[in-house]
Amino acid sequence: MESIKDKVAIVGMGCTKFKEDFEHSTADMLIDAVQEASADAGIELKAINAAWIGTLFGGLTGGILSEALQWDNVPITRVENNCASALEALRNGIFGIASGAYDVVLAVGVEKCKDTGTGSLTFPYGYHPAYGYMQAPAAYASAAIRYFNKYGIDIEEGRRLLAQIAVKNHHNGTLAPKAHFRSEITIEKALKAPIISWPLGLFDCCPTTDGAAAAILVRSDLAKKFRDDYVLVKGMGLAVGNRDVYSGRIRERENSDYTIWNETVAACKQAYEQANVKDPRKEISVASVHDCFTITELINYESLGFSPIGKAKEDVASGFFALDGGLPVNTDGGLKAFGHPVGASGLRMVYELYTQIQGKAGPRQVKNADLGLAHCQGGNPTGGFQAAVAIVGPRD
Amino acid sequence: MVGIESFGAYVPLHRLTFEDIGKAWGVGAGKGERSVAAEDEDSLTMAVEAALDCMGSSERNAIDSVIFASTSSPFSEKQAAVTVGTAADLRTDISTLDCSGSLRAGTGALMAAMNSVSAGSCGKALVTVADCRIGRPGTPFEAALGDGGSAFLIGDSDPAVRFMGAYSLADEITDYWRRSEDRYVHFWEERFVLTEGVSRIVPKAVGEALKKFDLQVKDITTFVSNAANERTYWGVAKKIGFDLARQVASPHYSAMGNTGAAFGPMQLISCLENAGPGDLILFANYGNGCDVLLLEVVRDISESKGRKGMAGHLASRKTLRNYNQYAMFRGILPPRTDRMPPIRPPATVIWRDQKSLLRFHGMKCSNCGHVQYPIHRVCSACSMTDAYEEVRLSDQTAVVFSCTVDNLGYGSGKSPFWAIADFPEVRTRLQIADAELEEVNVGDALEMTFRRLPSENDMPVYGWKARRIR
Repeated sequence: MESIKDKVAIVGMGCTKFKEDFEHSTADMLIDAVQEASADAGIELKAINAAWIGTLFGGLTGGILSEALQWDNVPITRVENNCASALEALRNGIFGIASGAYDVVLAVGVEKCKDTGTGSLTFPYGYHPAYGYMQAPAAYASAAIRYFNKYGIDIEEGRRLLAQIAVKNHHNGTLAPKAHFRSEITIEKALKAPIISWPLGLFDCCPTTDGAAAAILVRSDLAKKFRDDYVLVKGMGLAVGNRDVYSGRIRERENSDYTIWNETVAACKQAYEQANVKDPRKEISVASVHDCFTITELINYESLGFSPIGKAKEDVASGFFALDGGLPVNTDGGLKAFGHPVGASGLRMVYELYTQIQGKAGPRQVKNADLGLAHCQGGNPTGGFQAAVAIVGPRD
Repeated sequence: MVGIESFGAYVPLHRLTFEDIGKAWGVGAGKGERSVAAEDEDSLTMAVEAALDCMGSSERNAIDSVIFASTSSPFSEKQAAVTVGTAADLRTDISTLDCSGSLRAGTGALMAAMNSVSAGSCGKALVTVADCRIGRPGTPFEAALGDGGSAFLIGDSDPAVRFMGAYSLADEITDYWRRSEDRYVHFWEERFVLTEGVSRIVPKAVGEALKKFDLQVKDITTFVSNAANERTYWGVAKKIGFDLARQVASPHYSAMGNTGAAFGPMQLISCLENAGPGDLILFANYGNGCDVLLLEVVRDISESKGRKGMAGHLASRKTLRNYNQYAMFRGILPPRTDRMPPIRPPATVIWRDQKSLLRFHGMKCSNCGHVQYPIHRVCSACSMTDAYEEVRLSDQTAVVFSCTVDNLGYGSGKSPFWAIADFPEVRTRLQIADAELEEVNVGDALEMTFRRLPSENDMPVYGWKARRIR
């Protein structure tokens, strides 16, 4: 197997303002994200050879995108891998370029959560109708209970630990103009908020958001024609667990106790090998990780190798993942504050890394941004994950 | 000799006090409480619970027949007995029958089972009787009714309780009725109903029965009966001439309410739980006439008792917070509006997966012994395909590995209470019934309970949940 490292470049990106966007349709958001990306790359839309679109319930077929852009006869593929759908669009687009089949590829993700009529995430394709409807909040709450139990963390201490992650991400969101939430919160406010699924309160949960994000990919040897500060793909990983959240078949105990995300461990291992990363804690300089819940981010610190197993608590306490910490995580607010339009989130993460690596992140700019890691995981701890990791870095 | 080989009962956990019902309507109320089936319970699920209580660890493959008796089957069309038999994990080459329409449906079922065993057409028959009737809100009948179930294993393998004889009287009267489209029980003016109904017919039937059995009132150890209310219950026994203090089983009107067709059979079970060898029990069951059964206890009853029985179930109780909770449970108040996609389990899936869903079978890999639930063609440990034996989980207990209530979750308008539960050999996900989050902790033991699952398809769907051990 060959590594994907340095074969593909990102030369343009776009991202809509993430929000409860009642005014705009899926097509509106796709138009905005794609046009921003193509303008950023300095190309016309007709220069695009092929496209991949990731979405969970934004519609079926590549027609979602061709209808939005009024494209005729362009090869477009719709991909879906739950919350990892956008990184899946990116991954497929990268392979399209790397194979030599195409010179310019569009990867785009979109979701319109606010058309569902609920404040919670819905899955129109359905869970298994009979084995149960355990949705994400309950599944991740179950993991929080186990994490606290395993490491002897008192439940109130645990809630305070998680609140610190929410406070950090909300702070970062105030510095990101396109974030869904742009207000500071305090630990006390987070602790007093209504309980969604014990022990997770409102501020432990990401919102449901509307948004789209897009990337223009080219072969790396062509990238200079588009811009000087292009960003290179260093590694891609994807791991799909052998349990399907929709089927109701949950993993047995020997497989996982929910305090480590096995699929994420596997996906980042693939990406680290391709990118030749030996010590992610030292070598990754900025990361956007899946934080659908604060407990997700906490366990991801350990699953991605940023913190030793069982020790993430200490890194949270020391501010290691804050903007000015050793490894800033979710510098744009993450799913928590930037928002979570399911099929768009992975590309939103890469958009943030791209911006940081180019040094254009303004007040939230991290120092010496080098290798950046984006991580998404679909599914849930009691039902198996679809975990994707992308590592990007500056040219040369 | 045919008789009752074992018996069991089910009273739902929840009780609503007469005081809270009185408060809801701004009227005075007596002392006591009624049992209330939870939002996910109905007569079918209670019949299954009673059947499990009755069967205990006895050999289920010996059962050749299942009868479900109730006036409140969830279905006018579709047999409940076959679902009871499936949930109870019985064989499929059995006869199944629903008895309905009358408060004495249960004694009809018992007599049919006893006759069938006597005739040799069946070895053992499982008779379940359960009811979940609703009194019109704001009327005394609302407080007077209760929910519950009972089950009897009828056979001829030296039963501890022998069936000595039966007498039936048919009586045309419109005292209580429910048309198929009615939700609440109708009844004619109370003086007529009580005077010309139960108070006239039961003494008449008992008199004729005693004549037939060549017995006198004084020969009966215990008289068990049913009536709309406690005053009438005692009045009828007195009219027949029983010594109320010595010969009449004390009824559970103020502990569980009048549980309809199940009331008489549940009283009989209470009576049997306290009976000893030599006791002669006369059971009169009223409803458009009267069935009278004569039973003799021939030896110690302890092996025939249900696992919890009436005494255990009555002692295991939880008071509802208020009347509104009852009204939500029974659908008297509308459920909260759900904007979530409707939960519509297809009949095809329920049918295809019935071994996992209704029989609650997991699988044990024949190659490596790994156990998983639900049944899956490929072993998740060794990948062997199509090589497994089924294992029943419904009679196992599990331990809470993790649990939470999802306040944004959906399903029948109620926030789902989820547990990740460890059975001895397999971990799975289950909803917890009858409990609030603060009542359940990691490490707690759970037992399985048969319930209605969320469904918005005009099609009740059944399956297994877990509950704290009662």
